[in-house]
Amino acid sequence: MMLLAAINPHSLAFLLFALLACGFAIAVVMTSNIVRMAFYLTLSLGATSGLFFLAGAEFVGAMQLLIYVGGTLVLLIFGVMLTAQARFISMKTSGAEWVMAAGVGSALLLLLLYAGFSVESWNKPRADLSSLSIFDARTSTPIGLALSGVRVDQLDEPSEQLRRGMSGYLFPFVIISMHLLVVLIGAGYMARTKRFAGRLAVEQLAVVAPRARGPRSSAIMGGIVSGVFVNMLLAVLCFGYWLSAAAKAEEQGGMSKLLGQVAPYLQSAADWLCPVLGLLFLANVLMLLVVYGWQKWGVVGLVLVTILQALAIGNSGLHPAVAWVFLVIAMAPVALLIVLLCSGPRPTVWEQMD
Amino acid sequence: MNPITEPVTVSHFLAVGAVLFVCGAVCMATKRNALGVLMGIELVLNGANLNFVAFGSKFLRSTTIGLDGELMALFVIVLAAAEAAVALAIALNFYNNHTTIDVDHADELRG
Repeated sequence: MMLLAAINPHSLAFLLFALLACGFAIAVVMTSNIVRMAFYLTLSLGATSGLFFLAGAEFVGAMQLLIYVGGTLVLLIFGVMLTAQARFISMKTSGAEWVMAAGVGSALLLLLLYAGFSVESWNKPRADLSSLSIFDARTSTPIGLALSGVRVDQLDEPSEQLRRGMSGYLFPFVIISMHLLVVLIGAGYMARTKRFAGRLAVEQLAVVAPRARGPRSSAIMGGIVSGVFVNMLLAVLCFGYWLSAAAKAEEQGGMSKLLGQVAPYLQSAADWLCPVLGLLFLANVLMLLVVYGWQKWGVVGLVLVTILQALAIGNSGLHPAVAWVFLVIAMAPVALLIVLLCSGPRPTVWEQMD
Repeated sequence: MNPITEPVTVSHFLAVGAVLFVCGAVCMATKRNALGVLMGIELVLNGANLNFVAFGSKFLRSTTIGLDGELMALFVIVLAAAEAAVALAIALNFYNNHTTIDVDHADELRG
């Protein structure tokens, strides 16, 4: 009985509408059936209008029901019905996209919730709630007057400067009226049906169907895999040398003898050469993976990265011949890979790539 | 913070608005049906609207943004209606020309 007396009816109604709105919003995201999505969205927006009523915005709540639920959503449902072919009713989203969306969404939700609950004055309910009456919620007359240019709710604004800005919403109202007119004419013009276009598109669609690809030959696979390994190794070496050189500046000794032997030859190179080369080798690994994914731009990227590396070496203070030797040595495997891609039984792997 | 026995605050409304907003954003990102993307936009606009109304409500806080919140919410509702009409017209046009409503196929301008 005590518990029953402690219940705040306003809060209970808020909880009910909030759960409805949030629950059906989540249902909209979760279901992949477009017809059900439309239905859940209707319920979610209807519950939101209940929240507007609870916040004391009666006019906005009524407009939400009239315009949103009664107008916009009916429009959407018509769209659903006009395009409701069996293959578009239920379109599945891939698992990877779900994982990414869930990650980004939960991060955004945490941020918004933290921001919403972190401000002190938003956290506390109004102390003198009993001084308000139900008439404070009847805002349709002030809203109507504000839209026609008179702010009756701000007449007792003490600051002279603020009162000047309280001249109402007549201008936005006019603009939005013109906007609606233009939009309706434009929408009506755009949505005309053109019957003849549909048949053409069906024929085009049949051509665009995803094509099957043949297996990659073992030589290409070997080239890609060994390329990945060699590039990773070179990148690790570059970074290792860079880090050890940085460490050496602080303390002498403790480094491997191999590095000590190489160091004199690289002494003349600029400090930035090693990390840049390491990053470019990593870029090479990425490009090889792109080639593995049937994309032609991976091959272009491989050539570009090699040229960039040679340019970096040439500009780092080392002898220019080193850059040329590097270019020749590094281009050879790339050229070999291109030859492998273009040779072989028709259709070659190159022709099958995007 | 017991939501049943204590009065509602602005923060509670903001929380509901945040959930609606995030649901709408995720919906926009994951749906492949163009109309599903439109529904996501409606959810996002509603989440924002809820915040406007909550900040303008006299019943939640003594210092509010007053009538501005409700008027902004009204403008958002009207703009959402206009946006839905145009977007639906575009979607139907796309459907008529391509006989598909899958946004993944709407890449004719891709370079």
